[in-house]
Amino acid sequence: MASLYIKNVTKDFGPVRAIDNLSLAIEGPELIALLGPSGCGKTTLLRMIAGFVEATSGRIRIGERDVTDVPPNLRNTGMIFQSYALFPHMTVAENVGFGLEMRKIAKDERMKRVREALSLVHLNGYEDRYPKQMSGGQRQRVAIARALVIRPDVFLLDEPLSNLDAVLRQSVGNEIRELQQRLGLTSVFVTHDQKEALMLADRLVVMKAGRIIQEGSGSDIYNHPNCRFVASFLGKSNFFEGHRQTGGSFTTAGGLTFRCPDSNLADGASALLSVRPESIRLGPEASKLDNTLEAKVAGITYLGSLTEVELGFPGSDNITVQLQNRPGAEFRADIGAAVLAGWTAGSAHLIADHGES
Amino acid sequence: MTKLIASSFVTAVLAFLVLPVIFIVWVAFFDSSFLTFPPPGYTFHWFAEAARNPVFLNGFVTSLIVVAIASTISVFSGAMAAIVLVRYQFPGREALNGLLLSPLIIPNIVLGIALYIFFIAIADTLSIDLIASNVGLIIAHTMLVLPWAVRLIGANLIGMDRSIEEAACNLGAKSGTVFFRVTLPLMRGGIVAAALFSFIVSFENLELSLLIVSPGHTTLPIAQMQYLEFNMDPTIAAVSTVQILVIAALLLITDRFVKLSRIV
Repeated sequence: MASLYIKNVTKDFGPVRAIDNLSLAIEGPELIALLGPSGCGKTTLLRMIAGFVEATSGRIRIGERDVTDVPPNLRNTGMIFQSYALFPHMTVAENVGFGLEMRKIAKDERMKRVREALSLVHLNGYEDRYPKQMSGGQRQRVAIARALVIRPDVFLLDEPLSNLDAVLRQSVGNEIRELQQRLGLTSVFVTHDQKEALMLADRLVVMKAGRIIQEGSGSDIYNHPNCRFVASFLGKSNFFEGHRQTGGSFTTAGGLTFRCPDSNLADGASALLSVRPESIRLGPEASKLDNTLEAKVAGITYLGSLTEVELGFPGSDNITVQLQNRPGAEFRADIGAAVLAGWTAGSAHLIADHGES
Repeated sequence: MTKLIASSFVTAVLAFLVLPVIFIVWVAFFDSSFLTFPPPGYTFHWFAEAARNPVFLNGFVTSLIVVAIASTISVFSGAMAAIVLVRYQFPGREALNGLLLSPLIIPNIVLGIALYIFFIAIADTLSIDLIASNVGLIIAHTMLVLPWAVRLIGANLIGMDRSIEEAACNLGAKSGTVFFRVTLPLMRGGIVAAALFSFIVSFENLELSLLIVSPGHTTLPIAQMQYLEFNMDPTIAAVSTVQILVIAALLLITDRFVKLSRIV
């Protein structure tokens, strides 16, 4: 369980800057999720750690070793690919033993470690199968065994679950998390799926345009996004544009005033008030809350455990409300019906407005 | 109704392709020195006749030697060319690609004339007579089949998942080891297809060889054509049957190792 330090790393592909002066430190057994939309540089960053992409500038250090100029085959990282990347012409045992063979480990010891690695992923007895005889979930577990058997300093995962169906995604995901914790692996996980990131990672690193926008635990980032991009990338949110006023209040451009939580923004600063759809209540229970709005129902979508209600009101964009469905307590209303919406001051979140959309 | 039309069309096309082959094999067994219907009887006589004819025998041996060497050279160099063309960007890449494909576009007979003139020029200036031996034929056939090798191996490389090679590298393999342990085995389908096509294209070629063979270095198709100029008996059908059998056997053997339906 080595540590990983990325210091002021930049990568240019011709005129395109894929990674922009990025620094990141992972100390000890931690699972970091690099999260962001496609093209944000997360995969490039992972490939730089593995050594497949050379940094234009900056340094990468694994443990005490500066690996910036070390070729990928000497970095001792274990990488998992989206496409599994198993060797189709080799058996499972040969696949898993490949890294040990490259390290010139004697056959007996190799076989022993291959068996151990396969039992880690619950695939004992599959030694002589070929990858094409296995299911997607099994293949990815072989790939995990193959990466872990070499005892890598850093465990790198490039969208490892995106080729799997929903059920397998859950179980392989849990397996990765369990192994990572049991073996104390320093891990970096690339995904564009916020659910995966929240489910697996100790720390989320949200990226955009080659930079880190925000990092922290899942609940940190979800509850305290530092910009509109993060708030809308991780979950949904309703935004009101306006200004912070003295005494913990907020006025929107449309002239509405809301009570809002403390923030370190200056009085009068232009800001966004972010209200999560699940923080908003409707009907009689809304009337007792800090902030209320008279609105009209613009749409209702039934989503099983949730009902999503679209509300329209003059002077602002529509807002979305999510209500938990309980037996006998499902929200019903006609389109166009008047309804009272409300939320507590503490459930909203104030974000500095830099004019980004 | 559409299904009926479609299936009768398919049947007609298949019949059009297969019937001549069946007919040739059938004629090879006719017990008559010229074609008569119905045949008076059946015999193996013409196969014995063909085997006794030194022109066919030598032609067959020459063809096999030329085909074997030309196919081997074309698969080796075609594989290297395909790797460079598929995986690297460099100035002149398109030009090189076009050059390697050009033998497919130029009519064989034109290629034959051009090579003949070229070989004569070499003989005049360097005093090396390429036509007097099999070397000229081998050079010509290598050129003939190289485009097939480049294309088939290239198509296989384009479809290859690069992350498999990255995985090998990530596990500690040097680039040479990655190539021999991972890339080359993954290229097997393309290489087998290239070898097969090279063999067939070269083995049946007549036009290109026509101008650059010399007495004693005649390929089988040319021996057949020369025989047909003066004879019209089932010997030629017997020789053709052997030719068909060689190619069919090759296809069957290949199919045992690499499923043909998957590579061509």
